[in-house]
Amino acid sequence: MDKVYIRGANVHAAGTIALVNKTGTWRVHDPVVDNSKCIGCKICSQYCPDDCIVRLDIDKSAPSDTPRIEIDMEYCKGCGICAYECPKGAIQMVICEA
Amino acid sequence: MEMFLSGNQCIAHGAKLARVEVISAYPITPATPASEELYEMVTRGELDAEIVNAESELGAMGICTGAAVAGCRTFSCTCSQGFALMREMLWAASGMALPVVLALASREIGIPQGLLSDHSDALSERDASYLQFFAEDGQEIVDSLIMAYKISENEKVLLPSLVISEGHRMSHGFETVDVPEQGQVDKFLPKYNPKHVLVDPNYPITGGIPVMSQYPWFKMQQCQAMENARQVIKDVCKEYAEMFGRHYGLVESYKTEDADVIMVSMGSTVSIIREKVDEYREKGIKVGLLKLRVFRPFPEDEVREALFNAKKVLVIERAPSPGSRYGIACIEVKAALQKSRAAISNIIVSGKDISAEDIDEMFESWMNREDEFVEWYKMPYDERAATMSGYDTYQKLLSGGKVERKLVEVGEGCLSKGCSSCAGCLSFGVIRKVLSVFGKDTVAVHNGGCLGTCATLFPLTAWKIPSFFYTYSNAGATISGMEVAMKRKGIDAHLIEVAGDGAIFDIGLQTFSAALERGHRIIYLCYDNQAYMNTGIQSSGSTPYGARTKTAPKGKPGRVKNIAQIVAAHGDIYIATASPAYPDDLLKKAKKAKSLNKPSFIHVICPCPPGWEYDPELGIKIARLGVETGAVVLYEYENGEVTVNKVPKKRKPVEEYLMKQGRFSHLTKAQIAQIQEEVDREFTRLTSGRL
Repeated sequence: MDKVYIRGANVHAAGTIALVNKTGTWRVHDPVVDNSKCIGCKICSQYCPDDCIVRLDIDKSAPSDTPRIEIDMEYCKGCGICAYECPKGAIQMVICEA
Repeated sequence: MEMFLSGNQCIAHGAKLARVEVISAYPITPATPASEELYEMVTRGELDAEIVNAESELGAMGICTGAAVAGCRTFSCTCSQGFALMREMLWAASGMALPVVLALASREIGIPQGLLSDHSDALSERDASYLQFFAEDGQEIVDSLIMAYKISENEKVLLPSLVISEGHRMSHGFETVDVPEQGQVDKFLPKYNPKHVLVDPNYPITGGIPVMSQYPWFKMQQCQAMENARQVIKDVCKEYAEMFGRHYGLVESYKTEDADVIMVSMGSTVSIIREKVDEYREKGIKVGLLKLRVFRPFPEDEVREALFNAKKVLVIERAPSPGSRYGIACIEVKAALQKSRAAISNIIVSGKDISAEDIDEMFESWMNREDEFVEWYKMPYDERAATMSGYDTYQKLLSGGKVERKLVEVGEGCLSKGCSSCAGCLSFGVIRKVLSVFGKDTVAVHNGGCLGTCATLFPLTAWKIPSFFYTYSNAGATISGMEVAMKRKGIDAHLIEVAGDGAIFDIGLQTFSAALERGHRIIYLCYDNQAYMNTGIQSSGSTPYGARTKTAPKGKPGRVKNIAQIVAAHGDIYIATASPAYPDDLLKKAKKAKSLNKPSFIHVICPCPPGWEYDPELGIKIARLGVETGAVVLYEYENGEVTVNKVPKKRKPVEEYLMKQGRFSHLTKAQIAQIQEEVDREFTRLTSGRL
């Protein structure tokens, strides 16, 4: 590699920020899901400002404690919007262990 | 009085002691805290001045120019792109012989934008007829500002001044500063009372007149004033030293009398070199330091006197001059030393922060060489950064190879995770949501603001579609150029301009308006968090009445620009408002904008946890309350008619929305009632179909 960068600080790559900027380290509160309360309504996932919650494709007949959402803890900043907006109170914000 | 102040606070204290009468500035990192401090001083009643919120730096400098014409002592502070944007009015102020004083917390000029100090912003206006004072510490900022007014306002000078510090090292670093007593300063600096330009209905004058053949006369007089300034600076510095005990001059020669080798520098680096000179002298090296304190007028005689007999001179400086082999200061030093036999070398550091170890390294390598050299101070090459920036891919392109890239489909989202937006940032939530209806056939442009700084930092980018980050004032222009060129090249893609309220309502309004008028097929997404949040919460044209910001400590006195009416005035444009609390409505509007063959404007009020002062978990709740109270009305505007999409069955009182936000916590009942009245009026108008 020649010892130069691409002129104009142009980056010929996509989404590289995710490789380095693990924003999950910012968190002071963890979202903890009570699977028995979660109904998989996706309200949390549509309000998460960091796209960190995915609703899993779970059959309604699955046992009640089956996880219905998955939170990406590598990037979740712990803002608590999901917990506040959850209509079933299925997410609690719990202070992170040191 | 001794105070512990940051460089920016020193700027504010200097301006305050000079009893500036009119202040106007525009937020820009790292200079903003200086104007914020001045807003605080005015609000607390410590400074009797008019402080005017400008829509851009060009506006701020225009306001200062106008105020100076009308006879007031005026002040602004800025740096970098902001200073560059002032340019037209900079030359107007010096041409009109107006003693405006500006403080610059110097910063690299983009693109690429940087945040450290490079003197290129100040020195690229070397020929704008501004006296330039480079301060090395907070004390010198305060002292230089007070003296700058006295020098600039001298009848033999009548030129504007720049007092230059460095961002962030000086602007945000704290030191103990001896702040002069106001009474003493008042004795030193009399009231400004101009006779060459004034506004007086009983004594009409015409100002700013075009000239033909006499132009060189006026330019020559400007140059003569600059020449006169040399003596005036010396006299003023002498008087200042007598009153305040601190000595300054055009230059400072430190142990140069018997020196064989002399280092030359300006700004904060000088403080480090001064200590190093003592250290090297203890080792028996006859070394000296020449501090260039005043760069315009350039102190040729003093430089010649200090350096002429040295064997070697090393200029360590921050501003390169592309096209010249030397940095800007070195060019000037060389010109002053034409007949000297000194070997003049030049190390250019640009924006790098300089430590004592760096000076050791520079000094050692310089002492080991006898030749004259010019070099950039060591710049470690970050191979990992280059790899992450896609350098290999670029090389393949250059060699004619075909590169397959993974592209995003509709629904996947065009921004990756890992953005540095605050926890609970709803602007980012909205941007992600809107971009999710777009895919690989989309090009995004953004201009300043939170999006640029939180989604990108070389070599990192969150973008998965082509995206370009331009300067603040260009919300409409650069994307227009891209649209025209893409059409010409047959590139069929959606163009989306993602801009904050600052870029749309204020600094970029001109280019935005022109783009709307021309009718380019562009989707404008305004993520409106109702203030300049990226620079730390200053009022914008979108800040609502009563909201507290750093530039409105008691709440914004004025009202909000009706941006939708402005946009609608441009003709056939799809206008929609949306809220992060109603994602389906937002998605529907984004999809509609995507489907239309005309310009669209989607305006989303986005609660901002630090700026609106609330706990991040409440963001959606507050956004929802905005709609439920009617403070935010979700509507679409097409063919001259407004359709309100969400009409609350019973509107809640606006107080519920306001009181969830710390920025409104100081409002009185009467103010809340006034806001309620305004909300009722707007809501009634919109629900009756009128914009």
